[in-house]
Amino acid sequence: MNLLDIIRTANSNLFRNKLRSLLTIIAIFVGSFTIILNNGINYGVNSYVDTQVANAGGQGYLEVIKTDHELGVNIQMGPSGPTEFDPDATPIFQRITQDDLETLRGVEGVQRAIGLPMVSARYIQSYENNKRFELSLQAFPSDRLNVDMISGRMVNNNRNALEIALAPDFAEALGYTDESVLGRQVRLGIRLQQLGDTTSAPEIIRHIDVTVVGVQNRSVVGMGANFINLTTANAIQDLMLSEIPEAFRPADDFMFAIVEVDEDATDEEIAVIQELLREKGFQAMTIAEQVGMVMSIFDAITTILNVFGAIALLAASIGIVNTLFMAVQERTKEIGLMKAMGLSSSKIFLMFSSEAIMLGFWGSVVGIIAASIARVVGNNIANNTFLADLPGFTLIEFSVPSTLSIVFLIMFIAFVAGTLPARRAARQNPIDALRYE
Amino acid sequence: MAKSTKKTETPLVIDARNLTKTYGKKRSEHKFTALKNVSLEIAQGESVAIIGKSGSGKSTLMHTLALLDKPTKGELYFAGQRIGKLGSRGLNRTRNRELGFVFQQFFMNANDTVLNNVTLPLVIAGRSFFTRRRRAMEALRAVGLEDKAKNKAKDLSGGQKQRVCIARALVNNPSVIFADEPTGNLDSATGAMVEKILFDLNRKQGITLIIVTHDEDIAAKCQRQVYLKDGEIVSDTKKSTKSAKTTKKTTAKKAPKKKTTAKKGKK
Repeated sequence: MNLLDIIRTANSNLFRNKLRSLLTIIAIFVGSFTIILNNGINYGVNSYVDTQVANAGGQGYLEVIKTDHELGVNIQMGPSGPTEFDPDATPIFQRITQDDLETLRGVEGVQRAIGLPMVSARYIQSYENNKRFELSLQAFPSDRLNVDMISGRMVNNNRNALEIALAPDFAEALGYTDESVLGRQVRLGIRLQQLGDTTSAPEIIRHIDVTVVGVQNRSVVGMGANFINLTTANAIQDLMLSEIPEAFRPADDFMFAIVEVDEDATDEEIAVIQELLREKGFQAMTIAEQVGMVMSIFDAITTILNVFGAIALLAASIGIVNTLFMAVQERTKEIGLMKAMGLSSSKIFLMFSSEAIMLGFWGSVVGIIAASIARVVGNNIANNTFLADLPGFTLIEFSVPSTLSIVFLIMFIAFVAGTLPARRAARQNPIDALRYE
Repeated sequence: MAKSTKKTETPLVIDARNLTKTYGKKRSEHKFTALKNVSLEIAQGESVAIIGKSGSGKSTLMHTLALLDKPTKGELYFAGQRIGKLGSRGLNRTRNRELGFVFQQFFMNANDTVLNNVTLPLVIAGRSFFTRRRRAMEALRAVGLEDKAKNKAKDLSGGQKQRVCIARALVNNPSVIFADEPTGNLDSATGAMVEKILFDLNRKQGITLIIVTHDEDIAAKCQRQVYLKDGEIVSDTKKSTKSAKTTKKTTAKKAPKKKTTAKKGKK
């Protein structure tokens, strides 16, 4: 009996008791579907993030905060719950002063260190249709970062001109097209800070005119913010504080600083610089590390889901054992006959193992089919709802090698489960088997 | 042939010497001896009936001769080869190529086609698809069921089923066919037809036929009757005394002995 015959026999034996085989296949399918789909989501998210990180650039770009604490997903938590307050300890987050910036600049390998001013505007107003819109405003930290543009270019931090790169959809709202808005002036309404209780006092708004240099595409780096260059950010900050007497103005310090190092620096060289910064009390993170922190949560979730899938597969493999034991019982006489006719025990073993592998194979094939349907439906729903603002993000994507390895893994698990009944079948004595009633 | 005695001119296909088969542990009180010092020589082309009541050891003898069971003591030679020396691989090979089996309970895959049931020994032997088909159709033709090849086995009558089983036993061109109560589940008319096919194969193709039965009528149609009682051979009559009663077979009966030596050549 050659291998093809064994596989063919195993497969046709599978269809002898269709309902029983089907139920076993469904059990395997539950596990395979979960794992395949879960890996599809993992792959989809990862490949999107990878593309975004790759597109985001950020070579030699580090974001710096001043803290004695180790950076983590939740920085406020100590090893055993929230950190108890200690009046002598330094706060979790410390402001980065001008002196700190000098310290940063003194670290070997640092080419540039600047504080990032936090500014805001009440509205953006069009000179075309006079409409006003709320907006989130952010100083563009570094020209090392790439943001995908629909038109024009990103703001330039080295220019003295007041520049803004609009978030997607803003050009149209302001009465322009993505092209015609380039070079136009828009007005930002800046609310001045006041001393004392200002809750009942009328808002004091001053205007500042900025030139639109580009319109951004949707991206993870942009996150829907309107970017201004440092010149603009500093001008807005000066304007915001203009009503406050000199003596009452807050210190000229920052929550965040950005540090630029050699663009060609390797990961190891960057790690050395990060260590030097840590010694001085700063924590610096690359773009990839920031994304990695978010991804570690995501990876934990998918790992848990995979564990569920694995549990389902474990239950399914017990189902395989059960199904095949019943099959061995039913086919005792047939096994006896075939052994009497000279079929070796090892081939009998192979026959039942193949049957188990076939169950695993069909279970994962059904899993793939169902996951493919879920992929189309799921992506459709996702793209119309929570991923609508992130074009190019396919939630569920399958990679052929990983899907194939899941199929082989499931077939292997099925094989292992099948060895028990297959061994019993192989050990049948032909005489006893033929006498068996 | 390794073994040749003065008594027989034709080569022996089965030569059993002092076979003893005991069940249960040695020196145990429950030890049961199914065969006691049984010696039996069967020449190629013979038709032999092994007769005995249930518990006489006839099934054990058949299983041992058919290489399905190993004797506790004694030696068994098959076509001159000592069976004790064959490994499980050799045993499987010999059973697959040299032996055919017909059982009272048929043992067929009822949901499969007649053709697939017949090809089973060839599938086990690993023959090519075309050889399987050709030989299976020849075997079905030999039992007169070639038009049923595509039918499901379960749709056949009892007699047809047993004929399919004979075709299956035949399909590997065996030198010996073992038939265990081949007509036990059939009415007399269909039983007679199955008997006729078996004896025709023995006579025309020189296939050694060993029938295990408690039915004196079918035993009488064999050239030789071996009676077993309590695990021992009580009588071994070479000449059929009752063959005269079955009028149809009388002419046929005398022919086979002369043809036996030519059997291998005919294949």
